[in-house]
Amino acid sequence: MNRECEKVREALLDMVYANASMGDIARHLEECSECRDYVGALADIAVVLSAQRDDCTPLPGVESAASSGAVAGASPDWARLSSTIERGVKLRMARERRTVGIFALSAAGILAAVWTPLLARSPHAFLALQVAGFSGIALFYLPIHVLRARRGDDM
Amino acid sequence: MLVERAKRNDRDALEELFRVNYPLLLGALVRITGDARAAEDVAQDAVLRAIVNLEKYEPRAKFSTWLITTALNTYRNRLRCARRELPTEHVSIAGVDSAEDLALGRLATSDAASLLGALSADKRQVFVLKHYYGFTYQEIADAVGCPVGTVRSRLHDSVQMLRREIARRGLI
Repeated sequence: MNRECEKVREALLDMVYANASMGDIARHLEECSECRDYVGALADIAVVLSAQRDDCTPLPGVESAASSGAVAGASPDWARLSSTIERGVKLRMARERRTVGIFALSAAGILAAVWTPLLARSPHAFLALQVAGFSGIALFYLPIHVLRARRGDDM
Repeated sequence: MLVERAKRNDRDALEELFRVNYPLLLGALVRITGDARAAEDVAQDAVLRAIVNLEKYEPRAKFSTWLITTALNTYRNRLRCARRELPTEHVSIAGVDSAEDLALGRLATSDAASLLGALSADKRQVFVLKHYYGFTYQEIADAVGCPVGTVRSRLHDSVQMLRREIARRGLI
């Protein structure tokens, strides 16, 4: 097997799996019996494995398992899947709540650390800082809100 | 879009999304693990991980591709744990080098999957994803965690081994 054989065999894989063009491959195949043999091997594998390709029990109303790549002997445990989904949703929501909680606590901590001394010294400076702070937050979030609204996301 | 609704914790969308993709996921895992029960466990773990990390899914890839990739990561983690737990003498007595090969011992008894059992675990993953599910080389590389060149060579080796196995068994 020479270097060209190697290249052609890679291309053969692509061709068989519908990714490549035929031009040079066909020319090489005419001349090389080893590679013709290799094409035969790919065809044999496809035949043998397609005979083993089978179905599994699809859920009523869900697309056919055969078209979705399911396999014989694999019967989905739908009840278990439902409870896994339920568990996943709970974990997901718990994580979201945790994230919001951590963010809120951090924000409260920072505010308390920065603003409490200011408030104690000068209420007017505190008020000005508060206005500046909220304006900054609004300016930061406005473009994000506009973009998400355009995309149709919920906030 | 279904995924977008699912990301917003729409329970119906989540159910539909995973029920549509579950047979494919389970099918791939049965072929890769060679053990229907283990495949079901890995698939359930993968679904759980996928739901929790749904934000990480980007629609440039098919959802099923992402789901199978997540499942293969789960499977690899389980194998790592199993290897740690597997006693050395067990390995030498069985004449195998990994927990996955023990699963393959069971695989060999199943007619439907016995041919794939001739491939090593790494090669079988690559071959199954390409042959049955039409993953691109890049998608396979991402799913199994190796370079594209390695995917190509594993696929090539798989073809050679399957060819020998088919001839040895006189299947054609």
